[in-house]
Amino acid sequence: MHGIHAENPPLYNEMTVVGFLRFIAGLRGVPRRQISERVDTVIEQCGLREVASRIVGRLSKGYRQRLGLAQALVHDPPVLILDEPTVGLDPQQVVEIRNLIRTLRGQHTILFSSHILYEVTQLCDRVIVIHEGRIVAQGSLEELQTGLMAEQRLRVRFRMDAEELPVRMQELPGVREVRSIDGYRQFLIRVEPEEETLTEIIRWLANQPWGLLEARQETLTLEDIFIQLTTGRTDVMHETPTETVEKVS
Amino acid sequence: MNLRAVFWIFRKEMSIYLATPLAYIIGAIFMLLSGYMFYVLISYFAVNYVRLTMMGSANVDLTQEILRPFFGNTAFLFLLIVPLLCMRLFAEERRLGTIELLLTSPVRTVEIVLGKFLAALTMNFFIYLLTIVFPLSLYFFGKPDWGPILTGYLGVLLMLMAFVGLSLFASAVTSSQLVAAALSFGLLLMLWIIGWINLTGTASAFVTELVEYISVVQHLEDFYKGVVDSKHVVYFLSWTFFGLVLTYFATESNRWRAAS
Repeated sequence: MHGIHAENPPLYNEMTVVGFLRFIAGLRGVPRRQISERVDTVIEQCGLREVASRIVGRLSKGYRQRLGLAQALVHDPPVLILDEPTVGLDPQQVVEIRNLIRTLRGQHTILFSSHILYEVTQLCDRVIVIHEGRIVAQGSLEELQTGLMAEQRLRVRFRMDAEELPVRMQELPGVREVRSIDGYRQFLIRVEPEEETLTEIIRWLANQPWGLLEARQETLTLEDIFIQLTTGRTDVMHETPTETVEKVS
Repeated sequence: MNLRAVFWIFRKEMSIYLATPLAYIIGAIFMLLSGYMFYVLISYFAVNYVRLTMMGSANVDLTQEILRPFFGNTAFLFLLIVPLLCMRLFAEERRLGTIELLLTSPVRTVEIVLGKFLAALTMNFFIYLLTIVFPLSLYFFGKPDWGPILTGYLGVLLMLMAFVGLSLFASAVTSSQLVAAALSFGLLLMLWIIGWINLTGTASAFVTELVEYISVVQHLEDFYKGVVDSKHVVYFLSWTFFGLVLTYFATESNRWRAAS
């Protein structure tokens, strides 16, 4: 049987934290002798020690969320399903819940669904993007990034003004566009997707007289990937609400 | 059927009864009302006793004169108490979504229904058992007959089984506790007063007989007199079974309904 924890976990408000967990453990068939031990383990794991004897109805949102996770874990399920477990928590609590999920890695297969893509990059090994009920992409984060790269972007910074850079670079093979970002010292260069081309360009840049300080390849964030996948556009960067499901194992 | 699952549900419901004020308040009000009823019956009996002994018939039955109406009156209060104690059982689980915790666990619907039934029955009967202090207090006045007292309690226990079974069903069809209470109170009251039609003398022979069979009051009288007749036992068990089967199907239908 799975363990399921959703955004607003259904809990019995009249019971104590320990009483509730014992009940759930018993209900899910944890042998009588192991109940105390299992309940004790999840109370420790989920940081519920100091509220263990409190009434569930009086717990704060953060503790309720942890209790929801604790009840999903109490029978030690092989698969744990987490549906937006950090929604509505304050930043401190969000960090705590994320750390908690990280500690569960390896012990359970975790199916983790969230709209907060940063969280997904932080926690997940495998990502599945679902758009309008269909899987539009799946794989590790790196696989998604490289798979979707239609071009490479290079961000460079010089010590001195390099007004002629755009003109000079036009002649180089593989360069699509050079755009200045901040005066004439920082530029964004769009290059053909082949890696060799990028190496060549970096080598060329290093030999220029303006003093190359920094050349950084820009990778796609999960947000970019997501927007590309769900809208088909490759250059827009704003948030669109659609469901993503990710998997950590 | 897994008795452990029944036990866990039972335990959970009992712990909620004991952790919330409702059952205590109902118990206290019930004791107040039944104490008052007992006092009135005793006073009436005392006056009557003097009158009857003056008229020469000294053979007055303490048990019959006081306890029979006492059982009848206190049982009547459970028309309201049972719905109040049962309304939460399924309705609140549906409202808060906790029913999912039960339905997604390896527990069968039969076990959920039975666990809740036993918990509600225990709570109701326990509150009723508090009245034992009144028959006991009769020892100060005379020698009450223990037979009818025991069968009286047995009768009320059977009545409570039927009431709890039906109220459980009322709770299982709604996510509002108030609707559940209103439904079960209406249903139980109807069972109680359905016999009134026979007092008018207008009903046909068939209706008279049918109503006599359905009416709860008719079936309790023998228990108060000290008689345990299997036909009355069967009557109450049938209602219990009927209520539980309906509850089973109402709960089972939740499994197939998409969570909103």
